[in-house]
Amino acid sequence: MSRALDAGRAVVGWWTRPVPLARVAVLRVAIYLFVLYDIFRLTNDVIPMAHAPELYYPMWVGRVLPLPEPSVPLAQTLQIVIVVGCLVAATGFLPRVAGWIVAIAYLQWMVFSQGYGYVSHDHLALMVAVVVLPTIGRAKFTDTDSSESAGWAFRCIQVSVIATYFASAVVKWVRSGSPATWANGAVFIWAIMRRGSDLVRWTTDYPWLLIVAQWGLIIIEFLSPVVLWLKGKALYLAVVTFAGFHLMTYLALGIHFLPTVICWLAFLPLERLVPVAQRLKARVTAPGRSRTARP
Amino acid sequence: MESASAALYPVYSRAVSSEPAVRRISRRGLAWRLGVTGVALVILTMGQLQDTNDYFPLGSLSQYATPRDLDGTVRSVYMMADTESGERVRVPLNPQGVGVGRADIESQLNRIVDDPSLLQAIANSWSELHPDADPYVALYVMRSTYQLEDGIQQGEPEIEQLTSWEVER
Repeated sequence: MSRALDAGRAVVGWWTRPVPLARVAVLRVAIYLFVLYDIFRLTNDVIPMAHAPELYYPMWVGRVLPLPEPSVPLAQTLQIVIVVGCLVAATGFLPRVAGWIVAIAYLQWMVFSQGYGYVSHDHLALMVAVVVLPTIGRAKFTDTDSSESAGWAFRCIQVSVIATYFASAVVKWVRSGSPATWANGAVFIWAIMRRGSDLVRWTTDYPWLLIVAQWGLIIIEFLSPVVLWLKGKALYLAVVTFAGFHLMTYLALGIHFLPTVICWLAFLPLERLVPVAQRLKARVTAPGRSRTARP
Repeated sequence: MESASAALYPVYSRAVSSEPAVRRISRRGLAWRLGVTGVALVILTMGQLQDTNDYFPLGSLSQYATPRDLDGTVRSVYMMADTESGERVRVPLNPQGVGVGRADIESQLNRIVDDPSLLQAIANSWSELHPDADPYVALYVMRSTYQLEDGIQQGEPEIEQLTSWEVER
């Protein structure tokens, strides 16, 4: 009995391990500014697609919940709400109100963006981040305290980042019958023939090379949950490895997964940027003093 | 590591000293957080095992999950259009072109082949987004198919027309 209690306590402790509030303040800036980049550069199809509402073919949430149909005025309204909401939320002012407004508007935006047949798979962690950040509440760059509710939010983002890789390995298994069938197949050849860049087109002459790469990818994806328990240099190495993988798929196929990449920040000690920024600010705001001090 | 004494202070209270404190979660706050986490993880897991996008945003992470045969085919869908001035052009299936992307068309291919009138939306969207451009008068959904052998592409692709639509004004 007491052993079960200890195990339960360990699980709860893992999900709520305190995170410094200064880290929250920094991540919040990154996430909310990235959402702006997202709606203008990555999911910028929402307003153009609203011109073809006949092709709107939403997923379950769009069919079952009483959500509105896409239209150009609605899409433009959402865009304005997200811009204002993100700018306010990024400053840390009204973290809950602004955060929830962004969460609702951004989720509706994503239902539209992903509601025309194709569903992309790089936004899971970003959508989770936008939903959990408002639950933390006030957090300043200069806060020295840490918080368990911040810990839960960060853990949710971290787990959804890892799920993006691990679950994709699971689906490969489900769909192929065995991981080996997938890894020994022609997925990379298929992808490169359909949308490969000039940089990698030559690889289709060497199918064995791409099969080796497929094995490498599926192994990394299955091992990805280990990252949740890594610390220090090993963790940084893992972050660089996954970021490097996304850089490669970007150069090879034009697929960058930036919405997931930005959420890798939730693994890093971002609060260490605060003193660096403060020193930079001090140097910029007081340049005259050092000059006048000189004889 | 936070100071051990901080753990003894009640929810949201601070140590009097400037020692960093840990702000604890209330029991209620903990309960709903763990509940939401559990439900989300169950939906996400079901999304993978049932291999469905329908549970979006917690659906399957099926990017490039479909296995491909080294002796199979590589198919790619694209769209062509006849314009008012009599040219045959490739339809730009992207946000800057007609809004809807190639992957959207491929995902809805059966629906479009069953009911080609859906293509009217593509022509409308092109005219609305590019009012000064040459409007489309006819649309063709095309598919190119390359044959692979041991993973190596064999010759030129086979091109087929899957459906077409005369644009209504």
